[in-house]
Amino acid sequence: MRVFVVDDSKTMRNIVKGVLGTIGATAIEEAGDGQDALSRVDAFNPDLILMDWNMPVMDGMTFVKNYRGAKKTTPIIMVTTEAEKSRVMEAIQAGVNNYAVKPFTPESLSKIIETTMAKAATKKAA
Amino acid sequence: MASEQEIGVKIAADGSQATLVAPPGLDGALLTREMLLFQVKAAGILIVQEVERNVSAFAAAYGSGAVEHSHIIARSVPAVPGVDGRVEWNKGFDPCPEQVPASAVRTDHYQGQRYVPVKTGDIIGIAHRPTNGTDGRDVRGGVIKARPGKPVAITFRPMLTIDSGGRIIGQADGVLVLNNNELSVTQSLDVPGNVDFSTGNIDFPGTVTVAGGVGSGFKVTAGGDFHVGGLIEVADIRCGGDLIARGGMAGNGRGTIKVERNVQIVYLERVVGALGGDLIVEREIADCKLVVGRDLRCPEGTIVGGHIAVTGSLVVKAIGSESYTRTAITLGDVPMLQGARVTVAKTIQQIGATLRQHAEQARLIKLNPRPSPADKEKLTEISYETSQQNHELAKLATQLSEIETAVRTHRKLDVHVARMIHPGVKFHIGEWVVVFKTAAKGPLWICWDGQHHLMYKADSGIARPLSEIAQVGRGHSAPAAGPATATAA
Repeated sequence: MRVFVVDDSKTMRNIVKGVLGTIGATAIEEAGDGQDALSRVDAFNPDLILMDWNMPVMDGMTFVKNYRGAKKTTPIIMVTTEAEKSRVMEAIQAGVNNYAVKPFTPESLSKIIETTMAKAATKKAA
Repeated sequence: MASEQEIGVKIAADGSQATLVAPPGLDGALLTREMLLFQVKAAGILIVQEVERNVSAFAAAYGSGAVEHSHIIARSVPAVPGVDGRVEWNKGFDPCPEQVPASAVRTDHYQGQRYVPVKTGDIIGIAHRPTNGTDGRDVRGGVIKARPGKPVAITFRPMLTIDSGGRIIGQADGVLVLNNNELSVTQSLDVPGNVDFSTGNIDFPGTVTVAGGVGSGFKVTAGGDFHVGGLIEVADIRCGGDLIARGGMAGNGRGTIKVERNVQIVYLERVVGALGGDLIVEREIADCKLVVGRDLRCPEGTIVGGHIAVTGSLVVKAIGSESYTRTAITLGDVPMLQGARVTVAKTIQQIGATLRQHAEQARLIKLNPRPSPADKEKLTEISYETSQQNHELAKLATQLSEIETAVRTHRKLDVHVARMIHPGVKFHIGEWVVVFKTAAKGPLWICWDGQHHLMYKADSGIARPLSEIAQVGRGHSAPAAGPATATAA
């Protein structure tokens, strides 16, 4: 599984990478903001994108809108402190597939990733 | 009038040069280049451009012919001899380096290395083949044979190969030796005298044999066995095999040994160290701090003073001295594993402390009913760290359990004392401390019974509680006697 991790916090990226390491990610690419991610995402061709919401230069929501606007279907999980229902709904409507609210445990994030990938596989098969 | 017969060509006996001679009074107009070349050719000289040029010059220079005219018109081309084969040593591999003159530069003479270590694959140098040289020719065109270069005088033994490019490559770890024009790699290092300033410290991957002793301040590291013929002074001895010493070691409290296998020595005095195998001592172990990985056999000698930890059997003539010398022996444990056990236990404690710290940090953050995004990220970090530390803790707990199992499997209490255990001797056996307040006469055998009680047997062969001849009480287990870095097991 190829995963693109986008978060302005290097510590948080390392944590996510650590979790991904335990669930068999084969390649991980990192970016510190949405714009950087947008410029490199196609070249990396990920199976999954883990996206923070609040970031400098371009936030996660703008990335999602741009990415989905280009008809890209790679699953996106929003990993964020934004836990209010209205924010979650906004993200889902913009094209986010799943949502992991900080603080999360490595186990809970692993489960969210597995669920998201299973759903994406089912959708693809259908 | 010019006459052909009057013009002469003199050729040196070795054919190295030819001289054209014209007597005076010849008719210069008839002394043409063509006529002269005819003469020269008739004399057997090979006509080449240089000869033609010289003959033309001769004709022009004759002039009125007032005097005899002679000129060298042909010279031989000498042969260029071949270059002898030679070995160009790569830096650090010259087996016979020139002595470096004493200089004002400060040097650690203990480090001075007087032998050339080689590892498999090392390119020792280039063997240059001899060249054939270039043939020359005499004035008649005859070949002057060039002397070919002599081949390299050195022969290379099988542990060295030479590839197509002439590179000399080591095929084994060892020392480069050039002896009687034979270059070889020997896997044992023989030091004919002492380890001293003439040899410097020794660090060799194979077996090291020192005919003499090892001087104070020197270090010998042998990947294999270490054989030493003389006294080992305040030195640092490390060896991957056995240490076989025909003399003793007087360590003066600073001499150290770290031996992976067995040690066989005449005596040990004030030495600190550890060995993975058996320790066999001929005479005495005096005031040493040693960890012995297996048995200690000193059937004709005494252990006096110091602290010795023995994993296996202990066979000794006497322990302690009549003058109540404090002598401690740790038994019934696996001291080689003690270091690892302590390290793992300490790490487990540290992780426990970190986890408690994390839990407290998380508790404080959660006291805030509306934590900030930064707080939430911090909680995620704590959660991740906690998860990681718990994984590590589980691994360490397994490791500790394995060590404990190994200790239980390997520990042994088997002490044979032929003559005497003197007062002042203390045994640390697991959680028990056995203190000999009075002399216990041998032969004695100290062991555990089926219920793990401390027992002894004397001449009668009947097992009696050890408490009958010594004071037995619970006490803290003694620390490892030797260096904490001991790894042999």
